[in-house]
Amino acid sequence: MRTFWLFFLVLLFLHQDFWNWSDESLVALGMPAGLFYHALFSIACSALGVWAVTRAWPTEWEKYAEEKTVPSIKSNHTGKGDSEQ
Amino acid sequence: MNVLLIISGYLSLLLLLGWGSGRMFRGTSRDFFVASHSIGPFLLLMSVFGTTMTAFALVGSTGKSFERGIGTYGLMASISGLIHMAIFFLIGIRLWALGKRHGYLTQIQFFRARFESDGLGYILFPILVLLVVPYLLIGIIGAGKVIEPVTAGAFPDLFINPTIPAWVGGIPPWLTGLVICIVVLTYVFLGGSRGAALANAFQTVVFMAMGIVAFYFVVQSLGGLEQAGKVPMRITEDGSLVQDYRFEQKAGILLEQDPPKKIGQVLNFTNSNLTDRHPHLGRDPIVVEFKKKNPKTGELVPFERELGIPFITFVTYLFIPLSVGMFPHLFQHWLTARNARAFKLTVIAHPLCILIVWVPCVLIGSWATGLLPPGIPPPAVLSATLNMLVGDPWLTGLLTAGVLAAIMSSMDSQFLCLGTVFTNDIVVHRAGSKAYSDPQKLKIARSFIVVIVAVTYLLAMAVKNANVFDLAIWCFSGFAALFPLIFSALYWKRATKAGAIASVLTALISWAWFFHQSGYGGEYFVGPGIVPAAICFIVSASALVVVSLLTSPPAQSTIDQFFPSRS
Repeated sequence: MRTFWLFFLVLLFLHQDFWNWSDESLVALGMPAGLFYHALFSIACSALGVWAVTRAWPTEWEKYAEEKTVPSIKSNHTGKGDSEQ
Repeated sequence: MNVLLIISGYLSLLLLLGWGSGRMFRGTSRDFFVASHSIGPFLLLMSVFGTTMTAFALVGSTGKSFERGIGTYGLMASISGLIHMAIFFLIGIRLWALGKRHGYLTQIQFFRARFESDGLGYILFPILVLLVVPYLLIGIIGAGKVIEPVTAGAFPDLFINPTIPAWVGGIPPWLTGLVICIVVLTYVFLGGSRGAALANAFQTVVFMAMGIVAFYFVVQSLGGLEQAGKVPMRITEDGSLVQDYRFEQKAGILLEQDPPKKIGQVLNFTNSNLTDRHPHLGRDPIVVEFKKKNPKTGELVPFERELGIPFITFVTYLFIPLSVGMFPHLFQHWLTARNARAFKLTVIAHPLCILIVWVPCVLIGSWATGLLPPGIPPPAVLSATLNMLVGDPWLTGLLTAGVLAAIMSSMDSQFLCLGTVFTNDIVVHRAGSKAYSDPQKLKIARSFIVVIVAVTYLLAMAVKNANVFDLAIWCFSGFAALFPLIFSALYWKRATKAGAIASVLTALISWAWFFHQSGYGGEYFVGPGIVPAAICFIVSASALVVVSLLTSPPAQSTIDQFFPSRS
């Protein structure tokens, strides 16, 4: 999970592409540099998604959900309905 | 008239789909609210994506790009791809697991249990309703803006007071809003959560496909991608803003204007580096003055506009997509998942779906600056461009149906969610679930939905000229300010009831203050261009941390329930 956060922070930094701010040149498919860069950025986000579901999948939560369902969360602070979900 | 026929046909198809999903309805409240946790990967992706992309994505993004240029994509779309994906992965799966395990139907049920507080639910309920309503308004207003120009001339004797004179005879926004509210209500009533998911999937496919088709025809009309890139307005050596081209509709060709048509002026023009630049293809902030015609007097009235995007605005906009973590309707969609694996496709494909929808819209918006008058209302840019460049009524009808699909695929989930929240978190919570039978619960949910739709419709008519993009940003800002609540609930054991309440109240107060400052829904920045969502988020997160640390930690039993040991 730490690696996911690391990749996430790297992408967050790369999103702030100040170096493209004034670049209006058309680079590919009729897109100016700033737009083309961010289109590639979207593909990079999807790649991070691929990495996340293949390398950092939260199996413990999957198991937790599939264990026998408990009827409710008991508590003395909720209304009548909460204890009867 | 052909446009109208196609749109009517599309709406009828949706009603048929609603009828079909109604036949699959199992008759239980759990099936109505969360489709009995039966939705697979593809339907989950389509329903989650369709829900998050509304008029904001198609109509709003094109309009914003028309105002500020291609920076609109980085401002909202690419950052949303990153943050939404992370939220689905880090938050969505955990919430689904907790919801499945403990039987939650709503976000408020989860928060009440996690923060050991009944009162938190009563505080959150009106806030969530308050924030979802503007989201619904966006849909109704956006639909009205799209239909009126493309149906202009259809009923010249019937609709004689259009938004602008050129649209005389077009279906007025009040009628469009009314019709789509009734259609959405019908299929939500018949099929509940499953009906909404099926309709969402169908509509998402329709609007993505139509978006691609629209883009293809726009590009063809402009003479190819390379040529289209030269069309946006340009700055001349004396600081004038000019349109170099015009589109000859009868011949269907793009013609060069000689001399170029002046449409505005850069204010305080001293920078010769701006000469021959197309400001909508970059992001440098430039303040310009345009003129627009007063529809009543015909007089030309000057107005100012900032093109480009200040860097600080671009950076602080990253707080806005955090709103997805707190959308109550998305929480409900997550709970419909059959299993955790159903999330995988959504995590991977969501950024790509954003790319497919937003890039064409942003490009069309920037190209339109070289062809349309600058004073046109931003929400009308997409349909006015299609009308001008595509022309063919059948095609325009199909493309308009695509825009309506995007709008309705969000409205259904929001309607359903509000009914679910009211029934479960207020009525059933107060009386106890045994106090009402399943049919009674469904009746309560449906009644509340009707009330909300009626109120929203009336509000939409009162603010029908609001900027769809700006209104959406206010809605997202409110939810983003509440994000610390969901994040701490899942990731910080020390977060307490008092901290949660402090966080919600500070989020509400700070948001309300900025919303008031904006004149209730306009574009508003703090200082050098900071978006209010960033400040609301920081205030809310600080309140949560400080108050939590000053109060007693949650009971160990609560921590055990929400932070299961890793095995």
